[in-house]
Amino acid sequence: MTAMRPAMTKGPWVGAATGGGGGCEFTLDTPKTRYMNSTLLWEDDGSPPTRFKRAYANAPQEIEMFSFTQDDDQYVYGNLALPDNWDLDTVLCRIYWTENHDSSGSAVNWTVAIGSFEDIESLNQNYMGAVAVLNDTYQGADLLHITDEVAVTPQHNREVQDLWCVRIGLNAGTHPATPDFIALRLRYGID
Amino acid sequence: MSAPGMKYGSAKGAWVGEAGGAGCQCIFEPDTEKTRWLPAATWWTYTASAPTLIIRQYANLHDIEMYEVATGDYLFTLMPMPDNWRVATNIRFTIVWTSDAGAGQIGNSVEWIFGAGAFSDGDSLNQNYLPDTGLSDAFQGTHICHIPAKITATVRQSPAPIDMLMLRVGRDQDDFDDDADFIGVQMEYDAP
Repeated sequence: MTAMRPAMTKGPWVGAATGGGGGCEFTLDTPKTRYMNSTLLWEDDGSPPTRFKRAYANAPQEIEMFSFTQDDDQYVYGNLALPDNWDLDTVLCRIYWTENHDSSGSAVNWTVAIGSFEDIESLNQNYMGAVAVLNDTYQGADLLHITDEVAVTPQHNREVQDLWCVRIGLNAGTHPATPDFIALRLRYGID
Repeated sequence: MSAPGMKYGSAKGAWVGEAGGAGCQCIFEPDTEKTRWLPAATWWTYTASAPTLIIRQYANLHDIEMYEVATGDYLFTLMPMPDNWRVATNIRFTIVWTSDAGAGQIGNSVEWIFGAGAFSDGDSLNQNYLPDTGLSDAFQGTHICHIPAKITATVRQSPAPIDMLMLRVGRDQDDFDDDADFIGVQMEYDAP
């Protein structure tokens, strides 16, 4: 096994050393996870979903969330500043959501779009060139739903230290009521 | 298992997987604590009994956002957890608070309480994750920044990676007769 790049002494060590018999490579693999809940998001000015708190009879909390009308161009937005070592690759996203209607088995289709803006770049640009759809199936009232992880490609010229603008929406589905968005989880790679 | 030549600096952790022979595959997972600063603006309140979110202006030219918390008040927040969350361990809280009142009450205690529950895909959100973990901190003076030693809290409901972690902070009955002003919480969990 060969030496493992002694310069990589900062930060966590997670990766795979493969090979052997005189050749071995260590690949740093430490994705970063960030999230956006209701406190870090704001509603679309023209077509906002409804921000509210849901109380639960048996639980010691209320949860703040956004109630979305399907296929009604309702959105919430957030942003995130990227670090120096972002790998400029796609972003893996999950949506955390719930509902309290009785109809299980119906389809709920969330959308996520990300624009990546660098220094001295106009923010007045459309970043809807690669809107990702996160499909899920409604399982029952007051259950937490976590979608599968879906890759989202940030639009524009991706650079380290960029500002991500994130838009979350809801496409048409078969759910008869108004699904409630709780949080977005984002996972990106670093070099 | 050992992995010669792959140990650097002061990193502590474990080698897992297989190594040696013509082919090797090994993963080093260091023990690394992750912290999240959760300032007042990232928390919300009960609808019925809500502490007030204020921006306190200090004469020496700076403002701080905080909740004025009375006994019986609660704050909530949540966060999706990462894939590499080491759920075998507890999480830790460090609270930061102050008060603009409290005349004559130095040494009286504020009783903070912390609760944490983890929810997986398909879990009902209508579940109780109490009891809370308590922290007693003595009032030191008006406008003093209070940062008591961190406490360890159990995450209830079978925590797992990717879970949604629900947090609550509140104030129990105590002998401090004014509002305690919540500035934020530093949460600490284990992950590579």
